Amino acid sequence: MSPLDAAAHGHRARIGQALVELAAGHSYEEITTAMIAAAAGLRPAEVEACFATKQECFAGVWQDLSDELLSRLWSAMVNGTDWREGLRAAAHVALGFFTEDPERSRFFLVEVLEANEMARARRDLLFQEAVELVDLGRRELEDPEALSRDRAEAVLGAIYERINSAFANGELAGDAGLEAVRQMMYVAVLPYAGQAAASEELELPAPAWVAPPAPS
Amino acid sequence: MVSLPDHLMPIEVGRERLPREELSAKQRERILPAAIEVFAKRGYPATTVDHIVAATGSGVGRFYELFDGKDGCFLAAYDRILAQARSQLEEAVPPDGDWPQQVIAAIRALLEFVSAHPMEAKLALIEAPTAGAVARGRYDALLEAAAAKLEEGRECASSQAPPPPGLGYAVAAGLAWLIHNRLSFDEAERIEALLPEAIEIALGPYLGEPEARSLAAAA
Repeated sequence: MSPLDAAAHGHRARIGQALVELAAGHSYEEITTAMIAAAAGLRPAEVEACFATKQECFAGVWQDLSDELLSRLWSAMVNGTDWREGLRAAAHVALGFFTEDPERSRFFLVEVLEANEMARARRDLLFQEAVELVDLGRRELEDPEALSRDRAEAVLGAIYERINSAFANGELAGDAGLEAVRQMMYVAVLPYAGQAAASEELELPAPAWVAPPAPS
Repeated sequence: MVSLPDHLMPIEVGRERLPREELSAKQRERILPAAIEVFAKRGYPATTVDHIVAATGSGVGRFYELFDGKDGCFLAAYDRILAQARSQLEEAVPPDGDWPQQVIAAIRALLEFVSAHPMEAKLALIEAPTAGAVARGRYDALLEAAAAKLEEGRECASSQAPPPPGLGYAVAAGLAWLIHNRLSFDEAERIEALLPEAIEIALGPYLGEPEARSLAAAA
């Protein structure tokens, strides 16, 4: 990475952090590029060098968070000894991501999507990438063509709505969050490994090598 | 013959003047179809009252007399769509049918509705969840209502281990997202083809995959 790229990368990270903090106290309409620059300790021109418009800034920061989440999910997935363990690890990693910084989660799950069409389009693309995590479950079947990719889309949609609803109701932290993960694992495993395996998921803890979520 | 668009046609009030409330209700009904299209095409965040007024020709002042701003118009549109869909579903679902047949009929009617009314479906399934807390609440209530119907399947559940709580909500949300994705990527023509998969998704957790698959094939 060149010094110029490194500086831009550093600026982008500072802008992201500043924007998440600003969005906790201000609406999308209230926030201006000047406010973002001031909160990030940058000049407005430095913010504009990273993002041409406020809309792109919100969508870009959302995209950075999405990339980080997806990267963490895949790291967890590939470390599993099999699909189920990998997916269980990814589910607990996702829980950690959404509980470690509630302001960031609110920004990611609620604020930006309510205000920014660009971010919503990117959310739908993230969704398409994350579907792969679930769709790998077809390899568990004798005939992988017995289920279509649509099934994985429905499973991921169910998980996404469960996360949203649990976040909105303050049920992601602590035991409620762990219970939600187990229920999501039941939903994910059921079509690919059957009822007995799905029921096992209601009792299984996170793989030992997954860091526990931040305390509530 | 060229005629005026619906929203510009004079309202037939007959010899007697309509009561103001009734007139307002009629005007709201005339504006909502155009508003639905604007919300669905532009997306909720990017839609402004000016866009709706421009599409409906209602005039800004009159718009605010009829609706409590953009949010009020959105919610009225959402409620109108839901009433339409509910009526279609109620007509399609046999009241004395068994649970699987009722679910299959409801899914078929839902997919037909979405396929015939993609703009309405976009508003209800794509825009509503991110259109503020009130709209989100109504979307959640819709999922909960679908979940309650699906949860009746517990009585038909084939397995010894009861499914976990919240399964009906998960199934309803999964189906909603399946449709959401088709609409998001402008694949409305593929909506009705989802029928067998949607039936398996809805029935499988309760009846088991083999029975669900056989019912889906028969449907």
